[in-house]
Amino acid sequence: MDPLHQHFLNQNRRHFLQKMGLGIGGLALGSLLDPLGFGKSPSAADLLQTGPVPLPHFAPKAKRIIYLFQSGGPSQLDLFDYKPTLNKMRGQDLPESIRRGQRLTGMTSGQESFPLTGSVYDFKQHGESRAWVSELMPYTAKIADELCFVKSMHTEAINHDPAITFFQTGSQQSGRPSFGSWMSYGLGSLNDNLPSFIVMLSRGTGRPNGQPLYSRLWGNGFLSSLHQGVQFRAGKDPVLYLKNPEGITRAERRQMLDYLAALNHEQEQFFGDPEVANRIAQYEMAYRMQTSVSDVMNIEDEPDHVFQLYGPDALTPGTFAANCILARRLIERDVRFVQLYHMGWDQHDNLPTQIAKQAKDVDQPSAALIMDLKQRGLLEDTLVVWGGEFGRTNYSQGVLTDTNYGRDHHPRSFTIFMAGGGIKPGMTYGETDDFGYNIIKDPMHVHDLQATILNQFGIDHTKMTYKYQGRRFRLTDVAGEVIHSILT
Amino acid sequence: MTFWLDFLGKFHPVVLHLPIGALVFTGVLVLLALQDKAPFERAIRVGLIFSFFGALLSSMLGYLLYQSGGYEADAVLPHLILGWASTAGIGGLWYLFGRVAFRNRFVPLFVLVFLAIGFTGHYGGMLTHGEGYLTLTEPEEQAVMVKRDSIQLYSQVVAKIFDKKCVSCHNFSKRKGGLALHLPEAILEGGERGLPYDLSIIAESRILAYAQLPLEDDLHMPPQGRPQLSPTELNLLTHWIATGAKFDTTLAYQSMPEPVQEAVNVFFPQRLPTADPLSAKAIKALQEKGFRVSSYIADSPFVQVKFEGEQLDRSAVNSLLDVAEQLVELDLAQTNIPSLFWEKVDAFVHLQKLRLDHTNTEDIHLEKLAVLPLQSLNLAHTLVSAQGISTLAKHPNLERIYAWNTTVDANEENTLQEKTAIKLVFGVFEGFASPQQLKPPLMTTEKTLFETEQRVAFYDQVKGQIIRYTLDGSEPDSTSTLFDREIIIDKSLTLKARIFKEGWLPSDVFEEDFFKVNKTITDYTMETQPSNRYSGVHKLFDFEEGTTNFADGKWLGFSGNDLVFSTQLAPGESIKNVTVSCMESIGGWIIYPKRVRVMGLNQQGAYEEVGRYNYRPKNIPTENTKKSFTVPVALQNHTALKVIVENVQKLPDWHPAAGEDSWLFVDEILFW
Repeated sequence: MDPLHQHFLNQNRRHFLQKMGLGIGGLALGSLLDPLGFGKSPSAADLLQTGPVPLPHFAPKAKRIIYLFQSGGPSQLDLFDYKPTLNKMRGQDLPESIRRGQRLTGMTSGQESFPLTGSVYDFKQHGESRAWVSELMPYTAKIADELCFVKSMHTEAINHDPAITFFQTGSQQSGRPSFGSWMSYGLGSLNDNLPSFIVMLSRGTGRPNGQPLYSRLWGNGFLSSLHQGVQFRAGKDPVLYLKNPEGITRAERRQMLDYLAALNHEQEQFFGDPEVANRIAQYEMAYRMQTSVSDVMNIEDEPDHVFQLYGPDALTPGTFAANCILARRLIERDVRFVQLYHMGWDQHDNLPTQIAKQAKDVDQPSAALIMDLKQRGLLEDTLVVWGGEFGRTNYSQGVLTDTNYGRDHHPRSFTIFMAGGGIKPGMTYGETDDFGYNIIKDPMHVHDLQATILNQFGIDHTKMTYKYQGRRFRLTDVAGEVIHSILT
Repeated sequence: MTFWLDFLGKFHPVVLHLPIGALVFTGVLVLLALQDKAPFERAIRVGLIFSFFGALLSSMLGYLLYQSGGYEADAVLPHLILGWASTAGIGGLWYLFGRVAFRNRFVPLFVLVFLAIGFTGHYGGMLTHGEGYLTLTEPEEQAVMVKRDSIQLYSQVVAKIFDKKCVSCHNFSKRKGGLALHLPEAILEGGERGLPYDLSIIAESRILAYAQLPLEDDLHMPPQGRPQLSPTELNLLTHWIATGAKFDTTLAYQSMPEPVQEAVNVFFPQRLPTADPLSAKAIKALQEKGFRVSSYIADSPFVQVKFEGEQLDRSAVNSLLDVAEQLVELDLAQTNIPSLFWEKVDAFVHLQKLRLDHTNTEDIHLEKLAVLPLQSLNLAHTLVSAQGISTLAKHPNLERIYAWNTTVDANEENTLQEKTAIKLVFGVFEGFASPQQLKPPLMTTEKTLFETEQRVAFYDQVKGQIIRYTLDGSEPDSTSTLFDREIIIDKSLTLKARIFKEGWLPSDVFEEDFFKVNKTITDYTMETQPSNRYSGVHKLFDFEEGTTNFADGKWLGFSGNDLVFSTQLAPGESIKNVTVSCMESIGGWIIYPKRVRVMGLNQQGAYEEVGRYNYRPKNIPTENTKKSFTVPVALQNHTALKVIVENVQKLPDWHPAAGEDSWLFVDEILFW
C-alpha cells in the first residue's frame, strides 16, 4: 500500500481496533521471542546494509559501473560487425528471405529498393582474441583483448526514445525507474558525499544537431527520489543551483538548512509522506556536495600525461573525452553508477563522413578510460559498457553512391562491448548472418544484458523488486536470462 | 489403436489417487458411524461405490500402462495383483455393507482392504522412485575440495546429469526401452537398441542424437513434458563420450575445451568459507574509527572495509583486527599504514582483496602476505621494487598485482612477468597514445561582420596553451604574433591562428574571414518571399551569422524559389563587393544557389547586370556546410541595386529525394 494512503488510514476507527488486536498479539509474540526486550538498537545486519533491501544476494564481481551510452544507434556494420558479403553484393536489393517481414521505420518503409551496402571502412582482426574492429576505432582495436564484444544484441524498439527508454528502464514506455536508480535502490551508496547515480552528456561532432535526451531517462520512476540520477554539466556550475547565493556563507547555509529541516520534520509528522524525509535528505546531500562536487570536477590537478592518454578533446570541458576523465574520478570516489551519454550516432545520411567524426570523439577516450581504470586496479570491480540503443540497417537509406550512404534504425542485431567487472576479456559473443541482419548464434536481448549486469553486482534480477500499484516491478520486467558464458 | 491404449495408460498415475482419497474419506465416515450409524449409512454407500469404480478404472489403466512395456515383470506383478485384489476388495465391501454386522464384520474387513490398497501404493511407488526410496536416506553430499587437475567426469558430472534427468525412467525396476542408467554396469549392458553411446561416431551416440530430435518425435529424450537436457549438459555428455565414456579415469580441467570447462564449472560451485557473524559493537567501533563497512553478501558474516578517515592509527588497526576473520576485502589506499598492521596481518585469514596503493608499503612487508588467500593486490604508487614483488611470485591464490608507478623499472617488467603466473599490471602499455595534435582554437564570439571594429578573443581551453596568429593570410608558425587577451580588427581580413603546447603537436590552422561592412541596409524591397518557417527578412542584414544548424533561427529559407531583393543607393556610396552567405544540407534538402546576380539601376531607369557569380559544385556534398559567395561589382552612377540569388529549384539527381523542390538558405547579404 502507498505509505501516504496508509498514513491517512491510520486515523480510521476500524484500523485502530484492528491494530489493537494485532498489536497486543504482536507484543505477546515479541516478548516471547525477545524476552529481555533488546530489539531496539540496530543489529549488525542493519549497520552493514547499504540499501533498503538485503543485497547482494551473492558474491559480487562488480561494485561500480560506467555506462558509455552511444545515443542514436552506432552503425555496427561500420565499426565492429564485419560483413564482406555486403561489399560483394553492394547495390543489390535486400532479399526478402533475410528481411522476413521485419518492420521498418517510416523513414525507409517507403523506399522502392533497399540497396545493400558494406562499409567503406577497412576491417582488421586485432589482438590475440582476433576481434574484428574497423579502422574507425584504432584505439579500441589496440585494447581488443580487454573487451568482450557482444555482436548479437537485439531490442524490441525501433525508434530512439522507446529504444533508449527500454535500455534504461526495461520498458519502452516511460515511467519506470532508470537502471542507475535501481542500482542505487538495491545496493545503496558507497560515498555519502556524492549521489550514487551521476549522468553526464556530450554532443557528437558527427551529427551535432541530433536527437536530444530527456532527464526522465535517469529518473527514479516510482522509486524514492533519492535514487534519481543527478546530471553533472561541464563548466563552472557542474550541478545547477548548488552554490550558495552571493553573500550567503556556508555557516549561514547550514543554519538555514537546520531550520528548514525542523519545519519539514513537522510537516512529515503531520502528513507522513516519506517524500518529505527524502527531501530533507536531498538538502543535506546538496550541502555536502557543495564541497565534494567542486573537488571531483576540478580536473586541473590531473597531470598532462592523463590528458595525453585520453586525447586532445579531453582538454575541452564538456566533450566525451573530458567526461571520461570525470567518470574515472567519480569511480575513484566509489560512485555506484556513472552514465555518459554521447549523442549524434544517428547516421541516416552521410554516414561515412559523420561516423568518422563520431568514432574519433569516443574511440581514444573510451579505450583510455578502460586502460586507466585497469592500471589503477579499478577495472576488476568496475564494469564498463559501451553501446547504443539499436543498430543500423545493412541497406542504404536514400541513394547509394560510390562514397556515400545512410543507414536506418535496425533493432534485430547490433554490437556492444563491455570490459571489466567480471566480464570475460578478449572474447566475442554471438554472431549475425552474412548480411549482418539476423542473429544466427547466441542472441542477447536487452533484458538479458540487464540481468547479466545485475548478476555481476551480486543481484538476482528476479529478486530485486519494488511493489508499486499492486505489482512487483523489476528492471528486467518478466524476462531476462543471465548470459553465463561471458562471465569470468 | 495401440497408440490410444498407450496414451490412456499414461493416465494411470493421475486416476489412481481418486479411489485412495475416496476410500480414506469413507474410512472417516465409518469411524464416525461407530457412534451412530444411521446418519452416515447412505454416505458410506456412496463412498464405497465411488471408490470401487475409481479403483476399477485405475486398475484397467494400470494394466494398459503395463502392456505398453518398459517395466520389469518381477517388479510390476505385486503391484498389479494387489491393485486388482484391492479393487475386488472394495467391491466386496460395497456388497457386504448393510448385509453383515457393521461393528464386528464390516469394519475389520474395511481395515483389511485399506491395508491392501496401502501396499499397492507402496509397490507402485517403488516402480517410479526405485527400490529403497523410503528406507534409504539421501547420501550426504561430501564437501570435498575439488582438485582442478583431477576431475572425475563420470562420477562428479555425468552421473549427476543422469540422476537428474534420466534415471527416473531408466533404472533397475523401470527399465524403459530396456535401458538403465543408474549404475556403470547397467550402462554397459545397454538397452534394446544397444549401447547409449557410440565411440566411433560420437555424434551418432543415441543419448546425444535422441536429445536433439524434434520434441514431438517419440524417440526424443527426455520425453516431451519432462525436464530437458540443457546445452551445458549436452556439452558435457558429448565430451564424456568423446573421451571414451570412461567411468573411473580423471581428467585435468585444463585439458578440456573451453565450453566444456564452463559447463563443468556449474558442477563445482565455489563455496565461501565460514566465519562467526559480526557483532554490532565491532561494526560500530570500525565506523567510529573512520572505516566504511558494508556486507559482502547479505546475511553472511563477511564484510568489505574501506578506510575513509584522516589517519590510520594503531587503535584503528586494532578495531580492524576485531573483524579480521570476517574481512574479505580491505581498502587502505592513500594512508600511512602503522607497523602494527604488518605485525598482525596474518590474522586476516579470509582476505581476498587488498588495496595498498598510495601507501608506505615496502618490499619487506610483502612476504608477510604470502600466507593470505589474496586474489588481488594493489601496490600502485608505493615504493615496492621488482625484488619485493618477486617474493610473491609463487603465491597460490593471487591473480593480479597492480604495480603501476612503483620503483619497478620499465626494463624489469617483462622479466618479472615471466617469473610468475600472476598477472602484473604496470600501467597503460607503451605506444597506446603517441604525441597527438591539439584542437584548433575557438573564438569566444561568432561575430565576423562589423561596421567599425571587432574585438576577437579565444577560449582558454587548454591548460598552458600558447596561441599564435596572423592577419595577412599567411600560415601561423612558432614565430607568429603571440595572442594576448584580444585582437582588434578594423578592416576586412582573414585571421589565422594555431595552438601550441609542450608535449603536443600544434593544432590545425583556425581560419576566419572578417568583413567590414560599408553599407547598412535599412530600406529594401523584397520581391520574393521566404517560407513561413524560416522567415524574417531583417535577419539578412543584422550581421548575425547562422550556424550549420538550419533551424537555429538565423536563416531565411526559400522553397523552390529565388531570393530577389532591391535597395536604394545613396549618392556617392562606394561598394565594391556583394557577399551572400548560404548553407547546404543534404538531410535538410538545402542546396547552394546556382548563381548570384547583382543588377544596378542606371540613369535610364533600367536594371543592368553589374556582377555575377556562377557556382559549379565540384563534389557531391556529404555534410552540412556554409559558404560565402562574393560578387565583385562595377558601379557607375547606379542609384539602386537588385540582388538575385538563384535557387537550383529541383533537387539534383544524386540527391536521395531527387526532383523534389530544393531549399535555398541565406543568413546574410553584405555590401562592402
